[in-house]
Amino acid sequence: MTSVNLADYAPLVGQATVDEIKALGNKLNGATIQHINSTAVGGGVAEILARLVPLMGEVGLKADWTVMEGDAPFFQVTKTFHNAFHGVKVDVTPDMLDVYRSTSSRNFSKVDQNAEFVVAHDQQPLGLSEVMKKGQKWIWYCHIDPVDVDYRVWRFLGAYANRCHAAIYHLPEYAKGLGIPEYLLPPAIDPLSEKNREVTQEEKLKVLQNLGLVLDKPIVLQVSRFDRLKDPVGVIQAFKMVKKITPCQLILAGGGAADDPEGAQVLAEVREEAGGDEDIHILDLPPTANLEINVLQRVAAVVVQKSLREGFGLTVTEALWKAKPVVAAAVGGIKKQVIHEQTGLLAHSVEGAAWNIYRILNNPAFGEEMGKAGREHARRNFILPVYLRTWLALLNAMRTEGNG
Amino acid sequence: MKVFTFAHPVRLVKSGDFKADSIPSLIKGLSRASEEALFYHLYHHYWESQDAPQGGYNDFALWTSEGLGEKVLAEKLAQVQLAGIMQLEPTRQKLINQCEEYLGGISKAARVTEGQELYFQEITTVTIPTGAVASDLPQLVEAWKAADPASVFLHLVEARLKPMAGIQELTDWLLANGEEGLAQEVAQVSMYPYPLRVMHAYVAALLERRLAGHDFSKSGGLCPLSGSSNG
Repeated sequence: MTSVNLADYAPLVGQATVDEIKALGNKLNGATIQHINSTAVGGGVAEILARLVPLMGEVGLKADWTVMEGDAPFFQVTKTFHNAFHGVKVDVTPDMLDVYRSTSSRNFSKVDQNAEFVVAHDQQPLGLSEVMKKGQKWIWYCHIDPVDVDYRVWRFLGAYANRCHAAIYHLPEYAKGLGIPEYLLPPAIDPLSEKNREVTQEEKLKVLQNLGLVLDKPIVLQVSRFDRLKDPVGVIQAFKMVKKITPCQLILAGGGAADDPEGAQVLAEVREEAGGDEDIHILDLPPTANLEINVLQRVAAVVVQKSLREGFGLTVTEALWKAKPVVAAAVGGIKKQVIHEQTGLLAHSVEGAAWNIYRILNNPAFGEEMGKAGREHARRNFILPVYLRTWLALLNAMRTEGNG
Repeated sequence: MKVFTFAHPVRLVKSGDFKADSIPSLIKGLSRASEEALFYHLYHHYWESQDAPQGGYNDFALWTSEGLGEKVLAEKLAQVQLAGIMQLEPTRQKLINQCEEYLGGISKAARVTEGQELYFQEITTVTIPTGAVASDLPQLVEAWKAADPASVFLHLVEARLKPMAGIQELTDWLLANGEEGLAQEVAQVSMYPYPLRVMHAYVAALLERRLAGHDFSKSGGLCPLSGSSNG
């Protein structure tokens, strides 16, 4: 990963914001903060920590990122818990709880006893809060939707979350009412990452050529793993309605099908729904295809996110950042990202999605205007330096208020 | 003269630990909401987009209109701020009164479907000095004109409605410096439905006018944005 400095973001957010970040960092007088999660690579949390932690260090914090160690049974348990957070009915056995506890114990020594702030990302490291030192401030950052969490799983994990001094969620509806300050901090994208940086015309052409795509018709794009909750079949249905009355092509760019049995099944359903339509391109991309995604989003005429359920759609933020008009389902955090008729269009059905795609394809100026507003919305609220500023304000607030 | 120190706010949003799904539950939420929550739902558009909310509707009015479909009540809830920048407790009472009065006149209160509830949120504001200070009115005018919109909102509105340690409120400073007429004029500025930049420019114009010798205690202000006095 390219090394990025805070100053590199000044052209995007303004020197004033960079100065605010530095001032907030200074106020923390070299505080020590330890982020703990369960994976060094893969997934949004690792992606953002890889950028956030060095920037926290740059503004004067002693910032550290620790990855807890676990074996296959532990990750099987935490995967079960993860599913339970999404409302999947799961079996929770005493053995599973023992596996969680014993793995936590083996990782106790990884907790920095000198850290003023310890952040447990998601549920895997929550058990480490047992070794919380007096005076430390622990924060549980819940990156997933916990609304329908299985009550047995929550009874177990909630006890750990309750030990913390603050919690962070992406959306207000996710707050669990823990009786501690519950902050709302949606995730951000890094505008300078490979997936979001500006690309050259040559890079665009090369990527399109490699993917076998031709820009002969406007592109309608959805970027998402092949998952029923992303409703790729619904996207195809909407596309087919639009295609009858206006020429366009659809790209469904996703991944995860190779190592996910359900993903492979969904991919098969998607191919069946596409029915050999040569204007529908289904791209099963590897997780490293960041430049490819970047280019696809930049050449699209409309970016769609027709999820049936969504926390905060990072692909939506990516499209907003690239000033693309977005048609998205009015679910979850998307409603904060897409302000209807201002930063994009919201839809509640296949028909609604089709109609809104049609509106943009047939009125590019309208799409361009929303794209511009969308980029500004993302710039103000959902990019890394803004996220860092909020983090630093939060640490300042916790210190000042003496939470806990 | 006491020094006026400009600051810049960074705001943190917190869960307000309550959701409303009907008019009765909105009343309950309004009754128990913290001032930080009321402030958030009445004003967050100003720091998120630096503009008045669409149609001048605060969150309560917007949700009542879009979520509950109670257009009449929504209009009543939107107009509570017509009088200008009102203190939060009287505003709370006014909102509750409007809801109760409306509820008394209808046979059945609507309820939103799951997922459409109004989630109460509140803010915590962390401030950083910008480095700009003013020791007298001419310096204040210059610093005010150069201030960013977020600082303007902080000193003009937020500090008035929920006092914060170390953060000065503009009218207080003017009063402390013998500018009663000007302070009164600034205090009458109404937020809705103007963008923050209009408010910023309007207050700058008031300050400049005073600097040019205008006596607000005798002849009133410039007119368009103040609730009650015309020049």
